[in-house]
Amino acid sequence: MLQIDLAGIKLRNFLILASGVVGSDVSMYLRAWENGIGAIVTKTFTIERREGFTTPIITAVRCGYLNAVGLENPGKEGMKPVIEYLKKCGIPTIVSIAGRDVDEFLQLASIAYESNADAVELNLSCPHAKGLGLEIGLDRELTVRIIKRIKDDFDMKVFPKLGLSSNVTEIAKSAEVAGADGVVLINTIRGMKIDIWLAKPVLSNKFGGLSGPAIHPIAVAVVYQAYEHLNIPIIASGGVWDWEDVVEFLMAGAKAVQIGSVLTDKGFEFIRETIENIKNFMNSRGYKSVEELIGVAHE
Amino acid sequence: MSTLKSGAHQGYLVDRSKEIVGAEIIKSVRENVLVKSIYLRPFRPLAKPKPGQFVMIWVPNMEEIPMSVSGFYGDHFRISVASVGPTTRVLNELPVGTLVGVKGFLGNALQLGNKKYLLVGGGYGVAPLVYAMAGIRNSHGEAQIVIGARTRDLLLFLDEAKRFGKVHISTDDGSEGFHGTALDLAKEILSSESFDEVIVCGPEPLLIGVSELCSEYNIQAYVLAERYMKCGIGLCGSCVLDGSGLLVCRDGPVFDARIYLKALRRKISKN
Repeated sequence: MLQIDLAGIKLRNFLILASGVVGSDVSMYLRAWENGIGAIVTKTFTIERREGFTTPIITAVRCGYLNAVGLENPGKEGMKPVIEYLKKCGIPTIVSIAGRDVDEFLQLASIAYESNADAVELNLSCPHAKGLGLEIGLDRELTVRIIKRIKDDFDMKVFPKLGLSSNVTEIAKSAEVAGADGVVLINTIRGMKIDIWLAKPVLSNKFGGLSGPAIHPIAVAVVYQAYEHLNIPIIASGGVWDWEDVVEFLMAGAKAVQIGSVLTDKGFEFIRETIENIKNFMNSRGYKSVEELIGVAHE
Repeated sequence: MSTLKSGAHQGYLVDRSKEIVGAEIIKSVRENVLVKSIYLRPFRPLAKPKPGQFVMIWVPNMEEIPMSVSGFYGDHFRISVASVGPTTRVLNELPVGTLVGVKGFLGNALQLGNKKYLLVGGGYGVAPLVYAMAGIRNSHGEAQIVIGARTRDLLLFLDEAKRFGKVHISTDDGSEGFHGTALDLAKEILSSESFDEVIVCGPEPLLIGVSELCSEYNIQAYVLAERYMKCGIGLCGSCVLDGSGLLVCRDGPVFDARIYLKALRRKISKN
């Protein structure tokens, strides 16, 4: 009932752990898996090891969370053990990678490929790392080149994760034309929190990525619009805070849905409860498979 | 300024205890050569911390670090800071009136009840235990505490602890009380008197030692674990308890001693 085929990758359900929300220790990924997640996106890997930003790196705000972790990761040397461990556990593994240019993306994709990852997610949308993420992803021509080169060199699924922009649908379409197997929409949105008593931004990086309930309707709109223009699957991401939000994404046209910050508030049990609640919803509304839900809001 | 406070939780879609808010240092008291108690009044009132919970303290231009709560007094609370790193050294020198950021209170908590407890504190691990002693008294339980330190001048909160229950003192050099470690003294006490539960906080060897001791004596024990933390709310994964899939900030800092030992043994067998 809940199984999906995501661009050829068989998943037991459509819920995917978003990148970077539980750190990079494999025991945390395993815990998400034990609680029922359908696939894991790893924390983003870069070529060099990164310490990440100094603290504070996260704060709650009225309508979500604001974070600037700074792409902390062990570098490309850390990829293989993580991917191989997850694959050994039978977990569908999507490896998030972020390069500064085409060559860096190719190097990282090559390690993911050799380690038998199911797919790479291209981080083209982290809103707070210099020279990485969104700074690359807003360059449509560069995005296209990165996808093309990876698809040319490796027989592996590629999912670019795109950030909010005025032309996100066009960039997604270009990604499809370039050979992307699916697109992930959207990442956090750049924001800031100033504490009025301290009279300064509270994150060390000043700017952070806003996640949580505030961005959910924005993400739904992006997914809905993209669905009308794309033929490849859409993986939705942004502000899922309850099972209804997941269903909304599916109805907007997403084939799979990433969850992240909500685990900070509600714990890993959220995964199990969400799956259970969606099953009940489908039963009560007469939906026999997920496929019947996908894009239904367009009809 | 102190009368102007923003609303507690109205209109918040997420857990507001995870929001950084300004707080003023209203008092600081030197406890010993290493430790200073700092009293903080947040500009937005925080929900009362449960014993065992912690708070993230951000010293602007320095880091945000986790601290145990050693006391709570309605509109302000106390942390007891040992100067062990760059941020704690600066924190301990901040004058009254300085503003810092606080995020809390975070983590799980001790489940206290009408029971007989032995608390075992080594070094500045005593800080959260004196707050727990107040909690035990409120739950109509009975508490005794082992306060251990390397030397007598490093003993913490002796007078305060005496108000809540019997105090046993140990010093490694024998300069006051029992000559030996807090673990040695705990062993002596547990072999002659029975307790319903043991709670331990302090250096890791003490946590391990007391956990093993209680498993041997078949006494329910809880540890207050400490790890390096970057976010304090379960996002960054830096405080994962040694590959166990358990986060000290979210699943802890209070752990059943058996689960704690199992997590640490897994690390030992992995290395």
